Amino acid sequence: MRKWVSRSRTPTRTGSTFKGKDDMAQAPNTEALDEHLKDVVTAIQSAVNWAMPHLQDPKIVDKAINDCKEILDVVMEGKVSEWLK
Amino acid sequence: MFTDKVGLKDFEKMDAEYRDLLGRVLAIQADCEIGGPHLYLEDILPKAPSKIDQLIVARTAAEEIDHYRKISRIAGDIGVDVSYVLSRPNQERYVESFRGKISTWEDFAVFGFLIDRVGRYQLEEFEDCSYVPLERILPDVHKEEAGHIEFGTNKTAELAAKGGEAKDRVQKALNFWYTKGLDMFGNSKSYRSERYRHWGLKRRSNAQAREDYINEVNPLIAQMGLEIPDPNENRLYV
Repeated sequence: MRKWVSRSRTPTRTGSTFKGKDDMAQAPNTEALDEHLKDVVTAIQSAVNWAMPHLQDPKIVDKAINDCKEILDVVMEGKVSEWLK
Repeated sequence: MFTDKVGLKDFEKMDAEYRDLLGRVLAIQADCEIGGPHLYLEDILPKAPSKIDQLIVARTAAEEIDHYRKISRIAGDIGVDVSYVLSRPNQERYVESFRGKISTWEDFAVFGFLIDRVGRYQLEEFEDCSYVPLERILPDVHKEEAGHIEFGTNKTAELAAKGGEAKDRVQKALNFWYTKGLDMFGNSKSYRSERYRHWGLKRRSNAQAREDYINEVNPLIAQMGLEIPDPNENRLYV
């Protein structure tokens, strides 16, 4: 497993850190993070889709916006290890 | 020029340069996908001008998170962990456009109009690319990005049409993001860009993509009654 970390604007041409077959192992948490983010995206989209036909009802719309904000705040914190506990 | 198609199973047999370039481009793409919401959510979600705009901001962010997820999955499958970009400070983003913060509706609108459009150009580079799993996710991502661009373009045009101070504010935002957008294409003489093309991971040179972008966006700016910014001002890459 590796993390691509170069921050140089002009890194070496190849600069590869792959070292053979072991490198092909899937990165840790790949599937778990994928599943978690799928759920997150679905939750936000559901909240938005629920509110869109009810734009004249502030209660429904405000609740949807607050729900989205709560979920998005957690994503923006980016604490992956906590999400996947 | 490499013209084969590469699947996940074939990846480990590929030349080290190919593997490195693919890992690199996926990390940058993932960083850009999640970098957008990090730029605008904090200030724009609560301050968007209407409830429907707030909902659209939330939906846009969800779609960008989903794009991140798709890229992250492809990277993870080849052993490249890009989860670190979920929590990195904006100042450390790979692409300069994502290192600040968007605090005004004008900036959010122009960001969609210009920067999401550059994002579309970046995604176009992967069309028919040599790495099949990457090519496979493009149709859905393209469709959603097109929606972001359309929203940004319409909002920019609306703000420009108001005239007066609203137009001045959107012109100011345009001047700022235009330069950032042009820089996003990278150095015209980039060696790495040529290597991406050699391996079938990109289609156009940086200079060609930038020229295509200018040819698309300048007439749109003019149609909105806005001034086309100086393409040479404050540029990092030419």
